[in-house]
Amino acid sequence: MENIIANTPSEISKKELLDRTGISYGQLYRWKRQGLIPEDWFQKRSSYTGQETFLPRERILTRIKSIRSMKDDLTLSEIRERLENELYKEGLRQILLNASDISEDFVDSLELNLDEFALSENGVKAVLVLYSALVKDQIDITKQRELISQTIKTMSVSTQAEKG
Amino acid sequence: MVSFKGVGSVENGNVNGVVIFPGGDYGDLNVNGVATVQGPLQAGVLDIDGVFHGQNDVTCENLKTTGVVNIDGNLQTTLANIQGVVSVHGNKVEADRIVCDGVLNVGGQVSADTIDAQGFINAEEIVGDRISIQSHTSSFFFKMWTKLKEAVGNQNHSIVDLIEATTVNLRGVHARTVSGQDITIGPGCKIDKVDASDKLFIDEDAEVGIVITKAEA
Repeated sequence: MENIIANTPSEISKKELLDRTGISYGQLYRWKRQGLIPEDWFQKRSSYTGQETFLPRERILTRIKSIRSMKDDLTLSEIRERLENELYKEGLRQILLNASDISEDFVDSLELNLDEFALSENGVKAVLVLYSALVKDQIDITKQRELISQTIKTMSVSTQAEKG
Repeated sequence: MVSFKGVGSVENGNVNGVVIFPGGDYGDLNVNGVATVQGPLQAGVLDIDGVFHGQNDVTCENLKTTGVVNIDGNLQTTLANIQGVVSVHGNKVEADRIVCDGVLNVGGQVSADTIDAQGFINAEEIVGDRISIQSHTSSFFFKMWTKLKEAVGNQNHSIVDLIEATTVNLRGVHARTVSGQDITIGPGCKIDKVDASDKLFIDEDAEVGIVITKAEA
């Protein structure tokens, strides 16, 4: 049995990933080259026998499941486009979470709606400014959620119209 | 119209003499002289019989060379057909298919679906689906081209730190770790650790340290 520095529960080694999912090295590296799996998910660390690569467990397992579910019906570039949308939503959630005065519970209460939204970076900043103002004015949390959701939706429609 | 400096000429994508380009998209380029590209380069077919120096990333559909290629950034191509000497000093080379009868030196990772090398590949990592490296100097190209002999000197094997692929077939390769599903370690190989999840063959003229097979893992 190979001795390796133990991965944290939130990580999976590349070898375990291949064993668990049944994908080949060829598939893993092809998907990485084609941008379906972000390069920065591959984190190398020293082990007793050299180096081992670890990936974020839940994210990579979910990603491989997504790719497999789409690969029979979509081209790889279409899959990449879908995944970029997922990354965008994840990014938006992270931006909201990283705002110092916004709670995770609050962001999660918006999460269902985030699926439908496509905000520009400035749109996200505007939402955060609005949130700060609502907190400063001690607006009721239910009202905050309602106003933020409405604003995101309105700005999203506007962004999509500009793109269209 | 291609904007360039130098004492050469550029006509219909043919570069002759000594030419310095800015970066950009040049369509198909055929370099017979000495070309230096200062910025990121995008090209269709990049055919280099002379000397090429890319000072940034190079992206093309098809890299063909019997010449000498130096790239300071990364190389991304659908197909690479190397009969000369290619050195990539960036982090990575990405391709669908690499055929290497010459020499490929890469500071970082080579990632390709298929690699078929009769020449030499020196890299930190080579990863992909089907990798075959059969390094030897008795091929037609090494007999024909003095510059190839000079490029490898007394080296008679490829040097790679890590090779990972679904199918790996090696001869004349020195590596620290080779991992894959179906692995053949041929004569002239010196491998510290082999990790095979399905089939493994080790030639009697190969030196292999630790062997991990699925039954042992």
